[in-house]
Amino acid sequence: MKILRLLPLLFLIPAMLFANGNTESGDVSTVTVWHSNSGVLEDAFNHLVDEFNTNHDDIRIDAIYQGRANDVLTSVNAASLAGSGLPDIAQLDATAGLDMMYAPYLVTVEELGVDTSALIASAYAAYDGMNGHIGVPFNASSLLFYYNADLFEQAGVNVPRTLDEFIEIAPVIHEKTGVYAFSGVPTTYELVSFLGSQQGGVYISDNRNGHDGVSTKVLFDENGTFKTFLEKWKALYDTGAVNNLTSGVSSAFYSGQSASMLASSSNLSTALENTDGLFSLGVANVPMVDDEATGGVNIGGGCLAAFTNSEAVKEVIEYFISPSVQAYWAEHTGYMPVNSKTVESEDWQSFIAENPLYSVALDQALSSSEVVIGLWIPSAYQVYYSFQSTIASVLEDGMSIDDAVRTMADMINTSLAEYTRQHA
Amino acid sequence: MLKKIFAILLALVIVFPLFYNISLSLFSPRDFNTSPALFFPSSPAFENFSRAVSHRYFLRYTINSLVTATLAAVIRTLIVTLSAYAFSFLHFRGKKIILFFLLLSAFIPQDSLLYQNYVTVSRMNLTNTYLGIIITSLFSATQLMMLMTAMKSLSKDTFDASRVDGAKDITILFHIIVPLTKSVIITIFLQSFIGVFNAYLWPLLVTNTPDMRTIQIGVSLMGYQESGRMGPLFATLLIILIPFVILVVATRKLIIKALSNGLSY
Amino acid sequence: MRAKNDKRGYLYVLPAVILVAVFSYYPFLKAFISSFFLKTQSGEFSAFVGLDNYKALFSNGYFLESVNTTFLITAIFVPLNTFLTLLAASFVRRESRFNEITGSLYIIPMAFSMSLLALLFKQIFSPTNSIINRIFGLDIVWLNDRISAIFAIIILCIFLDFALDYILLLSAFRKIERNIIEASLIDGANEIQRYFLIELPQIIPTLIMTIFIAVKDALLISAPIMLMTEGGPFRSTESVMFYYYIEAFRGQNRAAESTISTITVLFSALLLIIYSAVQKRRRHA
Repeated sequence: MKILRLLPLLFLIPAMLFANGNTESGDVSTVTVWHSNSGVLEDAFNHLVDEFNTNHDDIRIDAIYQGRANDVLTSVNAASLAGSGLPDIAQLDATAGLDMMYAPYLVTVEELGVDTSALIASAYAAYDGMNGHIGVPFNASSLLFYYNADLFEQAGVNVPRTLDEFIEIAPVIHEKTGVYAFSGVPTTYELVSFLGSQQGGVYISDNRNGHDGVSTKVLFDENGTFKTFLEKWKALYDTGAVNNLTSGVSSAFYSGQSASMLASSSNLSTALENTDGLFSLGVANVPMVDDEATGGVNIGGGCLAAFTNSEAVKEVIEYFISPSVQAYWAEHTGYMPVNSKTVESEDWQSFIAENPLYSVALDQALSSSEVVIGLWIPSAYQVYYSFQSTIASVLEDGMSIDDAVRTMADMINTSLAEYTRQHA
Repeated sequence: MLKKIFAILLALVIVFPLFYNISLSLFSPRDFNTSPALFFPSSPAFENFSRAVSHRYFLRYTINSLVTATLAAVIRTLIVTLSAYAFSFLHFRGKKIILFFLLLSAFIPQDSLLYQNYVTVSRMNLTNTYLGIIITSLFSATQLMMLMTAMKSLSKDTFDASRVDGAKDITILFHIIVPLTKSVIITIFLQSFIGVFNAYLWPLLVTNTPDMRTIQIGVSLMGYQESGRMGPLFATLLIILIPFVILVVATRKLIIKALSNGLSY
Repeated sequence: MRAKNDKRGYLYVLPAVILVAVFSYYPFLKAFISSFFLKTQSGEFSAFVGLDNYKALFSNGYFLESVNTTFLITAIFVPLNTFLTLLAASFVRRESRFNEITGSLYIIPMAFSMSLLALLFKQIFSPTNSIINRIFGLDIVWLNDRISAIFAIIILCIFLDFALDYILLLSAFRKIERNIIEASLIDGANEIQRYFLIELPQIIPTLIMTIFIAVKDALLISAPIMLMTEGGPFRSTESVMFYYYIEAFRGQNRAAESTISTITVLFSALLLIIYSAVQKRRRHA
């Protein structure tokens, strides 16, 4: 019987079942880094990792792409359930803030003893939690206004500094070029700036946007910032020059179907790659809600959070924030350097002299208020979409602005209360 | 005649994704941003394929998928066959209760227990192992039912006669029973293979190193989509797809025959 | 003759028993019990809360929306899928050269695995330049509103289930005894009468099975949504199982995880009971 002759093969199965890719070797300590860099970002990141590995005999970085920042968080949360399998370092963004602040396995920057003296203060402050810093900024970015300079020129308009100016020029662009002046619906990331920058800089929820412990309620209803924003944004939409896209925003922009978009500065290199030869790309500060909105933008992007307290991990993290690494990273991606020595270096100064687009994000961030920081709330990912859907209801379905403010405040307050119920 | 025209129209719709995938795999970056959408590439971008195959994990993901699907199908077929044999031909105390216990599990969809099973598997330290990827799919109550139905239709005399001859269970099972229920067993094997090969959520959870990822989750973790490098993405999809298209079309008679035995859900 | 006790039987069924106990019953019981308690981050029980977790779940608008979406997908997908697969199998049910070639095209979707097809459909239904718009001369911004996104997901699901359902139905048609059909020929029934009066009733059990599988697939849908729309736009295409995945793993929400597990297991058990009852009644009728 043929099948009997196959039986010996069955004995190979156990060996295969437990096979895994890990190869541990004696004196080299491997530092596993889960990251979220893809495309041009991954190319740059891998270059940095390779450079580290070539220059170190005793430490090897094992860089693993886990999807986007919130996928990395999902993987970290899943691994933490197992009690094993956590990486040594993970690249996380503000949506991880609350989880990390309370995570028993997190090693804070202070505990790890990383030298942070050269970090740009506001970039470092973005990760300041109640028990210390959850990580060091690595891929710092800020929101930027990307525009199609050719279309703006064709319409004969200037880049708007405020939403009021945008309301004036949007119909002009639409009329003269035939394409939408703007595509997209603001989400949490945009709103932290649109709301937080008002009245010279305000918090969006109490406990310093959740950085000093879980927030108990939102503040944007009481202080009127969400209402002010919605009024302006509705006026902008009512010009008929805005396309409420929720996906494919960047491809609409790259393909010339819309004249501008709001996106993270980390998209700069990708945007240059995608628009090369199609049109001339411009970037500018995010238009502010009104003249009193002087708070600027928050520093977003991501940080490196450590889950292992060791010299090797500390050395890897210090490598990633070192002046030369930050210079290379910023010049190849569009992220802004987080190390003040990078900014002061002649290398960087000559780079931005040649590539002025790369300096906009940093200048904008440096002139922003320290009050405008990332929002650390439970279900951060879900809130992201709630903001979009509520704004879209106001624009498209005639929901009143007061109702929208109440809906959004209720929704977040309920999820804060549910979090507190479960974790009392 | 009208029927034939509709039959062909339907076939065109069914085949369209395959055609479009071939076309997309040759699109240049600019073709992807051209509006209205193109049917054919402006000029074939063959470099998409060299980029796709040179991805450092492409081969690894593919191998992982084939290995896990094959392992799972072999083990599951074996487990189902052994228990179907025991329930059909052997007498032991509590048989009915044990059978009821096994069959009742068909009422519990494992998709609903993703989290709890993940906790179990990770506590067993099986994350990032082949066993971890397949362990929740090594038994199926409905397949057990299918095979038992097939075995019941065999004459009891065949079994009793060989029993009297003093033949061992393994010999009876593999020499007499298995050949007689071959087509159902092939069905079980195929269904198990397809099920594990197509799995998405579970392998996404239990693997977090590129060495262990399967192609299903691998293609979306190659970073092509996020960075707008769509050409190599579709080239990758096509490379995986083509062998399966050939396999499916070439062995369609076998597949149709095997799957017509019934289906596990 | 007294029934002897073949002890080896226990050995042969042992692997199955262990697997079922560990990966079906144990997790269900654990989820069921957990659903009445609060748990800490590390998984220890911290307080008994009765039905509070269920109350929290059912007062969550997004969960209710996901239930709504799941039923909407099921309500459209199941009839559409049944109609199309039945149509395909009916077209080529007789054996002929033409049917052989056309039929082999119908099983091509089987070569696509789920995530591959989802990524491809994401491009086919691209919001900026969809080939569907080009073909049909439409001007739809696909995936950008609930209706078009759900429609795209349903089309994807039809492609995923098409080949298998087609094969099952085709085999059912071809298994019909020749003499039944021949008898009807003698009776002078025309092609259409024969199809509806003779052949279709014969394949009803298979048809019920494919409908049931479709219902089950639609109710438990999650991965296609995750890959195609990620629940968007505006969380308007989240299914129950997608919501479960997000809450359990990304949101670390123990209460939502255990309650949804319990509810969906009980619900699908109910469905299976209904299915068995329907099939049994048919057999006795």
